[in-house]
Amino acid sequence: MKVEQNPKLGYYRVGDQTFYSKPEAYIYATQTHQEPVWHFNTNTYAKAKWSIEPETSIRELYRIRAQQLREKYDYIRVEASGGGDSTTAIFAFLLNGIHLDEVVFRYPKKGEKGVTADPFTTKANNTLSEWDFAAKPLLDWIATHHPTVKITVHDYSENMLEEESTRDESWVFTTRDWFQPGHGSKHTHFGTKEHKDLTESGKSICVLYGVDKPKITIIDDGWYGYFIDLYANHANPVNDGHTNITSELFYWSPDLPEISIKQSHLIAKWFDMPQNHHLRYLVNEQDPNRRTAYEFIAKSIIYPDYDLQTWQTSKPTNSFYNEMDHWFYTNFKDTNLYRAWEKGLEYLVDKIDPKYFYYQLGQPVGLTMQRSAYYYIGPVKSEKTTPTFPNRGHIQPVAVTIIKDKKVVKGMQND
Amino acid sequence: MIEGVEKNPKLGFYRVNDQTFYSKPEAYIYATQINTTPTWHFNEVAYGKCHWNVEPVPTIRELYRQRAQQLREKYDYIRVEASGGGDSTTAIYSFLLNNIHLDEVIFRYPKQADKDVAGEAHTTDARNSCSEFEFAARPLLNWIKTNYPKTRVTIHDFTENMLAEEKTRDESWVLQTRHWFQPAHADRFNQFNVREHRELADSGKSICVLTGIDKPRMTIINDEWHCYFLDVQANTAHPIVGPYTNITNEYFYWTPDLPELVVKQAHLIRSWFEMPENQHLRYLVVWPNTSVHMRTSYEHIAKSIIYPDYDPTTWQADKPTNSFYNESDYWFHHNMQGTNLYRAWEAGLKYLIDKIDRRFFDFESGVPVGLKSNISKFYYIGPASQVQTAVVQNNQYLNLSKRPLEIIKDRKLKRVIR
Repeated sequence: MKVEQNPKLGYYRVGDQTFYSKPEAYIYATQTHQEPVWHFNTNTYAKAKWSIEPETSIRELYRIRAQQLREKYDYIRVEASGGGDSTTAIFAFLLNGIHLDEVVFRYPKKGEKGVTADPFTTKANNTLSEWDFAAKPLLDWIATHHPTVKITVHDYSENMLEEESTRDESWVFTTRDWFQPGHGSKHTHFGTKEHKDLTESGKSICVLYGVDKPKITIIDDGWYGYFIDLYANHANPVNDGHTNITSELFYWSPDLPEISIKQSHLIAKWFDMPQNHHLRYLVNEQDPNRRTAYEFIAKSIIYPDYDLQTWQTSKPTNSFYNEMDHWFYTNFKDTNLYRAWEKGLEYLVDKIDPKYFYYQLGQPVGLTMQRSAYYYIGPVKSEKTTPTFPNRGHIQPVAVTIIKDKKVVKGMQND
Repeated sequence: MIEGVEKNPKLGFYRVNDQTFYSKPEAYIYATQINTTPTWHFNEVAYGKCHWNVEPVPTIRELYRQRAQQLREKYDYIRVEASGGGDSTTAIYSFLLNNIHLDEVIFRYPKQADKDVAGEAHTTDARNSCSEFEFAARPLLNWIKTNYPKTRVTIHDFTENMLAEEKTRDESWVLQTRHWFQPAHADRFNQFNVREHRELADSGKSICVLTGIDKPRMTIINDEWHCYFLDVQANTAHPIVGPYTNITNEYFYWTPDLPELVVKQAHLIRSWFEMPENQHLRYLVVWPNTSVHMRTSYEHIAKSIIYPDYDPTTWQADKPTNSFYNESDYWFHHNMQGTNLYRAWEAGLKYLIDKIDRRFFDFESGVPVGLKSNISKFYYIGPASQVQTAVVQNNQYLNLSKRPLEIIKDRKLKRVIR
């Protein structure tokens, strides 16, 4: 299979080799005993003025990004989930009168039996209910108010079932980092006849993902913005040689770094307010609970047009045994697809050095995450909190690369 | 009636027709037998008289001190059930930081069954709850030992008590917990599972078993802030005191003896959410408030407001999502499969399912996972400002389930459907 060679989505260097596939990079790194290093638009982001908040409003920056994409591509398709990230990307077009060609929602219709329909269970294993309670109302609104936008609901379980007798462990190369049974099929560029035809038409096609809210953290009394490969690796890597298809991340883009910078400043300013500084401990990507709370706060700041009460399940806790795949574990047990999924995970565990996995209770559950360089946003304002007994012995500092005043220095982030 | 249940109305009770129950499973079994619905009552008289819409003048730290002093004056011996979390730690601080003697702090841990289920600091999955000992509780207990050596620190291995019952346990264990039908809940908080505790009970001293229950539950209904209580939290205390009348369970925060405490907390939280820069986060508490992750986020915010002395970066595992198949019991499921204890646990759940009407259970994917929670009356705190900038109102799912609520505002009762 041929993989999209798009450095704007990030890539891995292992020795002198470049990889656009994370599993491939990690297998090669294991074979050659070299460290894989992730690069994410380092040149562009390092040159950006992270410490200066762009004057342009966040809504205007979203409009500029939508316009930029519109001018670049013949056809733009947004991968929609109903969540704040993709919905705000959609709004960036529609609320500004910029044409959007298509919005697609991916759903495993053949696997929904017994796992959906309860709006009052928001555990990650009820993720399919995002269709009924989050995505469908949005798509209905688009159909009513912007009827020229094509709306597609893609049942990717059909594509999976077509491979029931042929799928083997090689499916792990159809995803960059999300080793879920359906991820490769879910975001495939060729899952519907119309998408295949469009690919063959020769038009330049943008497949647009709402990736992602900014990652920010505090190191030594300074605010920093950074990126992680896990989210940048969301796009489907397989283009089968079609160079007219380009995956784009709406927010994490070197073509308009001002978006991430503006968002980071808005969020850091909020946490710096005297009445909010006690919440700065939530800026922690490693703890899923704190990360969730941070994301609730962040999206309420940076997505002003999104309905924050939109239904949403909890985030999954890992890549391999992702709670969002409950539909698959429930309805596809005893299929070849299930065995192929397990074989794929075994293949990764077999081929990749154990040090490149992260573990939950001793079990490998995904490839270790990589972080970009950390870009200095500004000093942390207001005083530190002073608990009676700082209970922080569990905190494990992580070595990071910091870019401050266009200079590279080493630092330690407390995870 | 179960023998030896503490009849303490301050912890809440159930009414089934003209009968009063201090045990939730017993109330629900009886309600099923006579085909009626139990009602939960939680200090309604005391809370109904309270001026909920007026913020108490004393600071929150001063109210914590008053509560600690009140308990100190009432009991000969005070034992705090500690987890290392913000609720119990703040209760402990209320004594120690105000030089009010605290007799004992106890942490409960399943030592005989912790193989392969503890020790990963980077995993905060609820299944890793045993790690709260290493990363949250032990540092706190060491700090207490160093700085307050007169406070006794106990680490109770409740798996020893469980294993002592390996051959004899049957399904009746479900009647030794008020709501938490976890395999060990009854042993964990048992008042007599430590020799020193038995001796203390026999000494005749008045004993307070103090639990850090709980952060205030807050919600916005019809653009008004309300505070309420849930029986799930109020049922944390172990129900059995046997023949002893000198043992009393107390909740540090949810108490009719100092309602100002929860009223103050509620006002602090409301004031924070009503600040112009923070109003956009009110969506986290809008009724019906069923999202676990929104509620968890609310709790992160709330505890950083109301527990000013606690370190919010303290390690903590995720909250479990249900009572029967509680993720924090992973140690039991991982290490005690195939034992009689395991079979007895399953038999207990089956007993409940057999004896209690299906309508009283919560379900996940069609499987009963616990008894439904009960909500107290809603106490009006004050108005909520309206914030709405969304382009698409995408919350129609909220209309799919409406339930009758009782609101107390200006000391008058109002019934609404929301």
